[in-house]
Amino acid sequence: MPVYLTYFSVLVLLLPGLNRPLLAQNFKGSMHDFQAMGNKLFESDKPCLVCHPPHRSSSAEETLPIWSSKAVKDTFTVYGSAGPAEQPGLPLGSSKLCLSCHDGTLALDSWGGRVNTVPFLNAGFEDRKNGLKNDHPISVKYTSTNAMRTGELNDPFISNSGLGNTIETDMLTNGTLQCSSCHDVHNGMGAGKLLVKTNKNSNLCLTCHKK
Amino acid sequence: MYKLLSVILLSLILTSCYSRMVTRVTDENLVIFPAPPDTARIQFLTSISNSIDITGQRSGFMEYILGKDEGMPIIKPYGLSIHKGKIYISDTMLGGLVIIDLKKHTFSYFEPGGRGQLKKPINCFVDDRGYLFVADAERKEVVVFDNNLKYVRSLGNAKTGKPTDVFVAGDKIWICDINAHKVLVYSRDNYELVNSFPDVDPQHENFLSSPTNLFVTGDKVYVSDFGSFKIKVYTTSGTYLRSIGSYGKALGQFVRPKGIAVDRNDNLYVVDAGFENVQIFNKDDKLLMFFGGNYEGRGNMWLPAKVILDYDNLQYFQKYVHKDFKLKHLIFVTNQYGPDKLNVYGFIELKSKK
Ligand code: HEC
Ligand code: HEC
Ligand code: HEC
Ligand code: HEC
Repeated sequence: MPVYLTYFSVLVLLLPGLNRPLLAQNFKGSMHDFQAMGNKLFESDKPCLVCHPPHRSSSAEETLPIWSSKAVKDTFTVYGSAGPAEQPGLPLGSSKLCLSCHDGTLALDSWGGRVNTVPFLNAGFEDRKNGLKNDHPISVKYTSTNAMRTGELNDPFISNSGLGNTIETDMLTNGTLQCSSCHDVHNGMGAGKLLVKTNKNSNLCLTCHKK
Repeated sequence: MYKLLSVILLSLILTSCYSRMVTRVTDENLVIFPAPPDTARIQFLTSISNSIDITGQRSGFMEYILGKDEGMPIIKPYGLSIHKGKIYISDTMLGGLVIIDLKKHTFSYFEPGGRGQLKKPINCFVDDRGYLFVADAERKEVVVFDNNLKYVRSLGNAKTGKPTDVFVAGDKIWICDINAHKVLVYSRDNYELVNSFPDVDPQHENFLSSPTNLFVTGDKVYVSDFGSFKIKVYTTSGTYLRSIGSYGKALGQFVRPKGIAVDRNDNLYVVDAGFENVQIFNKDDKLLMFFGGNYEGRGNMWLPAKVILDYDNLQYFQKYVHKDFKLKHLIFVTNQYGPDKLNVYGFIELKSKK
């Protein structure tokens, strides 16, 4: 426990992101606490490093690529996303982080490329056999305008998320829906399946969707 | 007789009515690594994401008759293998393989039924006889097909194992098993298990935490260990030799190492899905260069998974090579997301001036 708390205090200062309570006791023993899993999946004595690489590891020697006349940069960008940003369905930022592990080898690869083609409201998420083929669309813009347009979604700037603030503040990243809209990687809520809140009676879905 | 003739004629018309676009490589649209002023070593050649990239678009006339061809997509590729002008791509979302015939310009889905049914094919390998081996992480077996794509048998213990990669070298089949934390070695003649390594001991540095990809050379086995963020090297009999890389964001380190390949000069190519690039190390494990990068346009990568090298099918890609370069070998990289699903690069050399 003390180890975890130290990492919390260090990382809180370093990482921008969604404003959510980080409850160490919930993280511990969750599916993402790889240390608790006996260190067999990941060789890391630090439970948080697996997803939060240190800015520059001191043990790494200065490496200049032999075929480069001068160092272009000294570190790589992790999950950077520039380019054709916010294309519906194409994962960005923290969703890329999820999918770099959830690729079907060691962790379930949820959410596939067939974007916006499969309506699933009740079917999708329990469909483990089909590898979650019918997953929720991600990297879609969720604004007041498109809420109004379809009339099926609550206004993200006004509606309460049930997590303390509006949907926009608590669940969206740059106004887009990502894996982290519904999931808390740190299991802060302890709601099962690393969800931000339980989905009993479609509670989670109905935060954004109207009946 | 007439019927047969007309069928032949019709198919002739149909195939000839596809036009294939080749974008001419100019100094303006050339994508090379490393960037100038350093000597260019790798040129981005082309990408394949849809059947239309192979078969070409219907001509105006055929489009009028048959409608626009939307094509068939490569959905979510992981591994691939290339043999005699054919590219085999394991597509985890399709639950099957995409097979591209570069000679005949055909593109098809391979979705076998019955005992050969695939569920989540991660990697595949075609050996010198044309036999196809598919590592399926959901079926938890390696499925073997012969050179006519007929089911032969399956390999592995679905109760305890979960194969993620397969490689055929010499008279052996090498399987990388993420659940067993091991490399399993089978005889190609009788499919008997002949060896497995390393011994399961998480304390020891030869341990494989989460092995996902492997590559076998004449005398060494390279294993990409996603869980220790290193590439571990063993002799073909399983003795641990050394590791390459460590966890971190500095050049030469890894955060999400995946596919690996070794070229004829013993240079090691490593895909990293976090940096979205490929780093190349020489035989002394020193970083030579890297290419790819977070997607902004052609030549960049989007959650890449696999890298494959090829020396035998250069002819199909010569047309994309800049006139000042000589193509030495091909480099294929799959992207699980984004607009470009299969990136084709060429390892190039500046032509000597006469
Ligand atoms: C499985 C991957 C993973 C692990 C393990 C992990 N994190 Fe995170 N962390 C993330 C992601 C992804 C974000 C970005 C927040 C978001 O978008 O949900 C994040 C964000 C954060 C933030 C910024 C505040 C926030 O919620 O956005 C802090 C602080 C943090 N993590 C601390 C930790 C600590 C401390 C540990 C170890 C106990 C840890 N993390 C383990 C993935 C992980
Ligand atoms: C470092 C690798 C890694 C990263 C990064 C990662 N996960 Fe996971 N995740 C795992 C593993 C391993 C498991 C457990 C194995 C499995 O999938 O069955 C898991 C399990 C889960 C589960 C199931 C939890 C349960 O209790 O059943 C969910 C949900 C999940 N991850 C969501 C996410 C999301 C969302 C992100 C990104 C914000 C993410 N993961 C990032 C490796 C990762
Ligand atoms: C709209 C909300 C939503 C989004 C967006 C979402 N998920 Fe989920 N996810 C859920 C719910 C709800 C469940 C729980 C299903 C259940 O109870 O079986 C779940 C379950 C999972 C599981 C566990 C599956 C299992 O069978 O144990 C994984 C892994 C997962 N999600 C990963 C992801 C990843 C990765 C992303 C982003 C690419 C993502 N999710 C985006 C709502 C979402
Ligand atoms: C954080 C807000 C949010 C949550 C929570 C959420 N959704 Fe959504 N959902 C959206 C947005 C935004 C869209 C995209 C609407 C659009 O097309 O612009 C969407 C789209 C969908 C679609 C596809 C509609 C279509 O036409 O393609 C379905 C189905 C769906 N959601 C079901 C669910 C289910 C089931 C849950 C609960 C597990 C859920 N959603 C939870 C915001 C949310």
